[in-house]
This record gives sequence, structure tokens and C-alpha cells, in this order.
Amino acid sequence: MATEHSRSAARMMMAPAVVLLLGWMLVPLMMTLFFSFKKYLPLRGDSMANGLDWVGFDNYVRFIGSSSFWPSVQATLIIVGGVLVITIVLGVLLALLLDQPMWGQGAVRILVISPFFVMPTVSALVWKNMFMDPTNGLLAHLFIFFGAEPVQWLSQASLQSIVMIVSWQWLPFATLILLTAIQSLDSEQLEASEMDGAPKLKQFWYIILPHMSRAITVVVLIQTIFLLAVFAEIFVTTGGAFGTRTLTYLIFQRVLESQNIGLGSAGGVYAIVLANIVAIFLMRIVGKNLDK
Amino acid sequence: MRFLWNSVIIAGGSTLLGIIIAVPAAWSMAFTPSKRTKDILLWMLSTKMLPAVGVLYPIYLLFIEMGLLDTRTGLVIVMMLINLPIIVWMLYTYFREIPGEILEAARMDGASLKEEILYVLTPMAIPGIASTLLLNFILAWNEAFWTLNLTAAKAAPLTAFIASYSSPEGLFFAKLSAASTMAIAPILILGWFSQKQLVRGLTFGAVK
Repeated sequence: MATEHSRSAARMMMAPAVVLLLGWMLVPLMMTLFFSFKKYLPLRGDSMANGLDWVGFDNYVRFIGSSSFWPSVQATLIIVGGVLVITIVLGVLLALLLDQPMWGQGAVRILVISPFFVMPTVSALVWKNMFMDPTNGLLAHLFIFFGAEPVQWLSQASLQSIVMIVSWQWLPFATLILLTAIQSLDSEQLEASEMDGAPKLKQFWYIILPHMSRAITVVVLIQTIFLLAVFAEIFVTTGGAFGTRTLTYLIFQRVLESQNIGLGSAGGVYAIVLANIVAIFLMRIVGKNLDK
Repeated sequence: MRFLWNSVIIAGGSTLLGIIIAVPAAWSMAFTPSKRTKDILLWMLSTKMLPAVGVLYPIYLLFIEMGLLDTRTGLVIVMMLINLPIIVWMLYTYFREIPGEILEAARMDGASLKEEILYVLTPMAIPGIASTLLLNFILAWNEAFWTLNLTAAKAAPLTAFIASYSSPEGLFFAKLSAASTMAIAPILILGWFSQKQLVRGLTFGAVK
């Protein structure tokens, strides 16, 4: 079927997408790499026209050496780890629940998915102003009702609050994918184990969970990539204050707020390397699936 | 509402543009696969994994140089590029499900390549294209890194407008609520239609 003619036609058809993506990837990447070896502070008079000083690996060393680096790594890990644990555990439970035949299943499923479609700036603001506000928030009213001191969520328990907001957004995603995985499970296996008298818990542990393991891996990898880049939620709620400055946010501040391009670019290179490590694993799984 | 209009144009424009560029690419990959097809697909996906913040300044700089900062055109281009891998990928999985025999049959009947595409394949591909359109519209609508960083007042879509309410001074709950509803409602409805495609689009076919 594939003639010489159709091959060259295929190449022509692919060209625009490939060229655009190649440019989108390479040009900024090269620029980031270039800046990361330069001293570039536009606010102090450095400019491309006058030429930038080459500083070698200075920016890389200083980025890691700065006092805000390790806290930002810690904040990133807490957010990524916390959200992963919450969404996977609750996601598995919710998926099991939604898999049960019940009345109004379709409607319930749709409602469970909904948070994923809510614009991140909206959900962050609604959480901030309507749930977590220390005087007017719903949670504050609830705490006062039970005679407890209302918590200043976003300043006292800032990281936990952000984990909560982001989990709320990503739980539907995890649930939906895990549910899809459960539904592809051969029901005969479950029936057979039931015949042999396996209790529900063992069924779950030895049949359902292993069946879901690949879906769980995929969810973990995809979420990690997106969670490493969580931005809007922090931007809107704390603006990076109260220990919620993640690696992404730190780089953003270096580049656009304090305009230290060299330093920020070095941070960007670190972030790219980090994301690529995760991406390699995801690609392996996706690639294997493509062969089938 | 200027912000609503910006959102519609940016999400809609980038999705349409992306589809126009992606359809031929996905098409050729699905129907004339070569040894490199898989590598190209995976490479396209990998561009999606690039953390945006790593290339923030170069893009910012290029935007200033080209006068694209705070313009809808600029955002349409960026949104199109960040969603292009997903669009190509989704279309590819849909196109691959179209049986090749139909093509051969059409060819036997003497259809030219153009006729083949226009009358045989396109009707079969429409559902796939439609769901790709839907999901990517949603993703572009909600995207909040580039829209926050590359717009100021003129081209700001709803994401940026709503984020501007984040300071507690002069907070108007009623206004905020109205804007939020406007930002969520259309997408929620579209989202309900597209939830089946969501799994396919976001796991890149790794979960079925």
C-alpha cells in the first residue's frame, strides 16, 4: 500500500506539525541554556545588545546554594507526594464505589468528574475565599459552630491547604482512569474467585489491585508531570508566601519578578531535567502500549 | 465581556488551528506508518512534558521582540503549540481504528487520493475529530500558566481576569461569583460530553 509516492506525501503532511514542535522545543530550550551560563540582570543595565558576561556554571551553583532552594524542593515534594497519595488512595476507593451497580450511576459519575473541568484559578479562589477564609469561610463557621478556634488555613497550614485544593482538582482524573481500568477487568475471574470462597478483601488485594497496577502507574506519572508544574493555585492563593514556594514558583519569581534571568534559567534547566526523568518512565509505558 | 470573548477566541482559535495542522500529520502516521512513526509520536509527547517554567523567559523575550505580548494572536499560537502533541496523539488513535480495507476498496473503485480523503475517510473520522476538538478546547480554556504570564489587560482571558481577584482588597464576591460561573458553566457542560474521551486523550492510550 505504501508506495514511494505516498511516502513522500506522508512526509509532507507530517512536516508542519513536526517543524512547529521542533521549533517550539528547541528554540526556547537553547535560549534557556544560553542564558543559564550568563549574568543577565536587565534591571541593572545588562542587555543583549551590550553583550552578556559568561559566568560558566556560576548560576547553577548559586541556584542550588540559595537559601530558598531546599525549602522549595521540600515544598514541591510535599505537594506532589501529598496529592499523589490522596488522589490514588481515594481514587481507588471511589472507583470501586462507582463500579458498583446503583441507581443514578451516570449522574453520580458525571458529578464526580466535574471538578476536573473547573478552571484552576476559579477553584483556587473559591477555596481561598469561601472555604478557607478565616472569618467568612465555610470551614471557619464550621469550626466556630463546634467551639473550635478557626484555622488561618492559607497562612498557618499553607502547604496542607494547597495539597487539599490540588487534590480536589486531580481526584476526578485519578478516579476516572482507575474506574476505566476496573471496568476492563474480566468479571469471570471475580466470579471464579467467589466460587472458591475468596473474601472481598482478598479479592481486592489479589485480583483487582494487580489488574489496576498499570493504570495506577500511569496516573502517578502523568500527575507527577503536571503537579511539578502547579502554578495557578499557588499564584492565586498565597503567591508563594508561607512556605509554599515550589521549584516552579521559585523559578518564576527569579525570572519575572526579580528579573535575574541567568539564575532563573539555570533553575529552569534543573526543572527540565527533573521532569525528563519522570517523563522517561511514562514514555516507556506508552511506547510499549503502542506496539500492540 | 472582553475577558469571556478573549477566552473563547484563544481556546477556540488555538484548537481549530491545532486541528488543521494535526489532521494531516496524524493521518499520514495512521495510514502510511513507517519505522519512525512511533518515535515521532513519542517525541511529540515528550515536548508536552517540558516544564513551561523552564522556557518561560525565552518565550517572554520572543513575544516582546515580535510584539506578541498581551495579544490574542500570541496566546493562540502558544496554546496551539502546547496542545498540538495531544491533538496529534488523539487523532492518531482515532484514525488508526478506521479499517484500511475501506481505503483499498475505494481505490479499486477508482477513487483518487483526494476523493478518498474527502468522501471516504473524512466522514468516518468526524466523530474522532469532534471529540479531540472538545477536549482540547477544555484544556486550552483552563490553561493558566501562559495566560497568566503572557497577558496584561488587553488579551487577558477569564483565567487571568479571575486571578486578578486574588488580592483581598476590594473583593466583590458577587462579581467574582458571576465571573467564575461564566468560566465554569460552559466547560462543565462540554466536559460532561467529553468524559469518555478524557481518559483516552490524557493517558495517551496507555489505559483502556
